[in-house]
Amino acid sequence: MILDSRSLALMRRAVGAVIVLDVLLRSRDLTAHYTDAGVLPRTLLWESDFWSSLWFSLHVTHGHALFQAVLMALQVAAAVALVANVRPRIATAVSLVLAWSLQARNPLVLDGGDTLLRLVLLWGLLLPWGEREPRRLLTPATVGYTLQISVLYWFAAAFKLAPAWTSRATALYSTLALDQFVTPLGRLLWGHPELLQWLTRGVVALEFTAPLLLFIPRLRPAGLVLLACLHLGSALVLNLGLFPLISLVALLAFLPSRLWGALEPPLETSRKQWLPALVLIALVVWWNAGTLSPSLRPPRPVQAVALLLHLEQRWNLFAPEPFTEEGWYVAVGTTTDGRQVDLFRLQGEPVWEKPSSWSVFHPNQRWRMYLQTLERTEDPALRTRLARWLAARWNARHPDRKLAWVQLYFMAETTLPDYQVAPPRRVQWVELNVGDTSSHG
Amino acid sequence: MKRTLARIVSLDERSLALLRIGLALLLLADLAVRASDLRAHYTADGILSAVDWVRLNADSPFPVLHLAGDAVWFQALLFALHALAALALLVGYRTPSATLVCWFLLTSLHLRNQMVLNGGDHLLRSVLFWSCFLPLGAVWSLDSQVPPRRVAPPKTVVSLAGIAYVLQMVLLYAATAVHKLHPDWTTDRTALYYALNIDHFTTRLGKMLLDYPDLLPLLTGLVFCAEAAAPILLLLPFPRMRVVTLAALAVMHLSFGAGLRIGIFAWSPIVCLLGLIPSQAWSAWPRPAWAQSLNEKASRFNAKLGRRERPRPFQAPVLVTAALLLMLALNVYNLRAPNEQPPRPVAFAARLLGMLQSWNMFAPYPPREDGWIVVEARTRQGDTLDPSRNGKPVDWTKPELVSATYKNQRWRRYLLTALLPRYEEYLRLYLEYLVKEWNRSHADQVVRATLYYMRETTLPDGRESPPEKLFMVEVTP
Repeated sequence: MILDSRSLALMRRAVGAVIVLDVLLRSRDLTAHYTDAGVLPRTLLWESDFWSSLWFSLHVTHGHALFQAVLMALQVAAAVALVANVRPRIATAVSLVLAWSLQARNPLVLDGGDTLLRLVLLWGLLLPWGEREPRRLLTPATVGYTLQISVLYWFAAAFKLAPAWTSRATALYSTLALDQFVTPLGRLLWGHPELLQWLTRGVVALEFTAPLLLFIPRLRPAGLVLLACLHLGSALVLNLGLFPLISLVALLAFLPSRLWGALEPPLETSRKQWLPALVLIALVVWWNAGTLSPSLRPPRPVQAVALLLHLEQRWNLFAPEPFTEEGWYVAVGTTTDGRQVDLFRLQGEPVWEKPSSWSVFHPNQRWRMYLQTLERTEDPALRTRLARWLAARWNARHPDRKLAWVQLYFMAETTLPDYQVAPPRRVQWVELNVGDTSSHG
Repeated sequence: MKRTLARIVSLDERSLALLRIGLALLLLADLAVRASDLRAHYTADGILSAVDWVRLNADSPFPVLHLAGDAVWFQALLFALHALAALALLVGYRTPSATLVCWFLLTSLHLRNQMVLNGGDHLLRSVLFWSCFLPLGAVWSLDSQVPPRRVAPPKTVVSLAGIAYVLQMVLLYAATAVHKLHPDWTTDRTALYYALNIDHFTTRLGKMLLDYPDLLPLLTGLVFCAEAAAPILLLLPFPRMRVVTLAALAVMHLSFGAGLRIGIFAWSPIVCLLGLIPSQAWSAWPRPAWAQSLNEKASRFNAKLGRRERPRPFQAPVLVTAALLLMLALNVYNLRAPNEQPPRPVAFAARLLGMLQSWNMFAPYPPREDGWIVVEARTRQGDTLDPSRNGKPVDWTKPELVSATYKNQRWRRYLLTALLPRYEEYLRLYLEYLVKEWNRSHADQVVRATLYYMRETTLPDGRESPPEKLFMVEVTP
C-alpha cells in the first residue's frame, strides 16, 4: 500500500500517453461516432438507455465534427500536460472531465479499458502523482488505489465462479472461438483443448491471488509479474483494443522503489483526504457488489452519486459464460434501378458467406464494441440508425446510384463444444425504405 | 478637433466602476429571477429539454455550455458559478476575467433558452462583451488596491472598446428611433395608446394613464423625440448636456417600467448608460469619508491573498475592431430589413460572438392585437380545469389585469413568442409541460388539454373588439 512517487509519476506519464493514443485512434471515426451525422446522433443518445439524465457532457453541446475535433485537441493538450507534468492537478482534472464527457457522448463504443482509464484518472486527483521528490508514500489515496485495483480483479474473478470457468473449464475454448476477437496466435492455442482447460482455471486462480500479493511488499513484484503476464497473454491471443495496455498502465504505480535505485527514499505518511478516498472506495465496492447480485445494489441516491462520478462498471469479462453466439453482418442495399449492392464493402453484390477477415465490419475496437452493443441490446432504433448511416455513406459515394431499400442482416453463428460447426442463422435486423428521404444528415 | 473627439469617446474610470457595479447587480438580480424557473426553463423536466432544443434549433457556433447537462444539479452548478463571477465583478476581484466569465456564461444561458429573452438581455450581453476590454476595475475595486498603491487621481480613458461601447449605446437609440418612423409614432402619435392597450404588459399604472387620452399623443411624441435626440445629444462634447440627457433617458426607462411589465428591459439600459457619465459630474461630489477605510480593508484583503499583480483589461485590438464592424453591419442590415437575416457570413460571425441584436420593440408600430391564454384540460374522471391557473375551473372571462397572470417577464416572453405562428411547436411544448406538471402531482390525471387564445383587437378611441376564441394547440398525453 506504500507507493513510490517515481512509480506514480511514471503511471501519470503513461496515462497521458495512453489518452493521446486513444484520442488519435478515436479521431479516425470522428464523424461516424461523435456527430449528429454519425451512427449515434444526440437525440438518439438521449433517448437511449445508455444516457443517464444525471450526466453532463461537453461533447453533446454541438453536433458538428469541427467542434468535436476542437474538444479532442483540448484533450490531447491536457494529456500532454500530464506527460510533461505541467500543472498536474489541473491537467488531471481537465483530462478527467474530458474523458467523462467524451465517453458519455458515445457509450456504445466503450470497453473495460475506458472504465479503468476514468477510474485511474479519478484516483489521480487524490494520488500525489505530480510529486517531484523521490518519496515512498502512504496516504489514504495510495491505500485506496491499491484496494481499487485489487477489487477489480476480485470482482472479475467472482463473476467467473461458474461452471464454464471452474468445473467444465470451457471458457477459454468458447472465448477463442469468437472469430471477431481471436488473433492468429489465439487460433493456434484454440487447437489445444487440455491446455485451454488448465489456462481457464489458471486465470481464475490468478485473478484471486495475484492482487493479494500487491499488499505484501516482498511479494509485490511477483504479483505484478503474474498480472502483467495475464494482460500480455490476453493481448497476444485476443484483440481487445487498448484494454490490456491500460491495465498494464494502471499497474505501474506498484513498481517497487528498488527499480529506481539502490537507495530507499524516505517514507512520507499523511492522513489528508481520507474522506474522499474512503467514499470513493466504498462506492466502488458497493457498485460492484450490486453488479454481482441485485440484492446488494445500492439505493438510488448512492447510485446517483456513483453515476455522477462515472463509477458505473461491470467486470464480467467473458463471464460467467463467454458469449456462445456471434456473427457477421450483411447490409443489402437495393438501388433505385433495382440492383443489389453490399453496403459494408461498398462494391459488388452482397456477400453472404462468412468473411475471412472481420475488418470489413469493424475496422477497429470501437466499431467492434459498437456492433456488439447493437447485438446485445436489440434496440431497433439504434439498428435502424446504422442502416440509415450505411445508406447515407453509400449515397454520398455513389450520387448516381441512390438507394431505395436497405436490409441489415445478422448472420448468427453458435459456438458448439468439441469443435463442431453449426450452420449460420440469418436474422433480419432492419428493413428500411430510404428512397423518399434524400438526406439523413 | 482631435481633443473634441477624444472628449466624446473618453470614459471616466469612476463611471466605468459604477457601470461594473451596476452590471454585477443586474446580473445577480437576473440570475435570481431566472433561478426561480431553473427547472422549468433550463432542464429536461421543463418546457424545453435539450432533446427539443436540438430538434428545433440549428447548432450554435458559440458553445452552449448550458446544453452539456440537462439535470437540475448541473444547471444549478452553472448558476452558482455565474453568481460567483458576478460577485467577483461586483467587488472588482480579477475584474477582466470575471467580466469574461460573466459574459460567456450569460451568452450560453441566453442561447439555452432564447424564447425568454428580450431587448434588455441583448443589450446587457453586448455591453458585457465590450466591458471585457475596458478598465472596469481601475477604481473602487479590490484590483485597484493591489500594491503598489496608486496615488494618481482617477483619469479618463480612450480606447477602441470604449468607442465601441459608446457607439453601442448611441446605436441603441438611433436604431429604435429609425425603426419607429411610422405615423403611429410621428404624425398620429397613437403609439402609446396602442402600446398601453396590449394587456400582456400594461401595469395598473399604465391602465390609469389610458384614462387621459389627451396626454398620450404628447407622451408618444416625447418618447420619440427623446429616442431620436439621444444619439445626437450623447455625441455632443458638452458634459452638462450629457448629464441631462442621461438623467432624462433614465427617467424615460423607469417610466416604461412603471407603465409596462417589461422585466429586465426597464433596468438594463439604465445600467448600461452608467459608463457614459462624464468626469465633470464626479468632481461635484466630495470623496466620502468611508472611502479611505474601505480602501485599507481592500488592501489588507489583497495582502492576505498574496496578490501582487493588478489585472489589466484584455488587449485584443483585432477582435475588438472586427466586433465593432460587425455591430455596425448588424444594425445597418437590421434597419434595412428588420425581419430578415443578414447575409450568412455576417449572421455566422454575429452568432459566434453572441452579438445578435435588433432594437425594434413596439416598432414600427405597436401591435393592435392582444389577448389572454385559457387552457382547458379534461381529466380521467371527467373534470374540466385550467392547469395554467393552479387547476381552477376554466374561466373564459378576461382577467382583471392580464399582465399579472404571468409569473414574470421570462414566462411572458416565452408565451408571447410562442403564440406567433412560426413558433407553434414551442406552444405545444408549453402545454405538454403544463400537463406533465399537473399529472406529476395529481392522482386525477389530465387526459386531454387544449390551449385557446382569447384575442382582442384594439380599436381607436378607447374601444375594443369583442374577444375571439382561437384554438391554438391540443395535446393528449
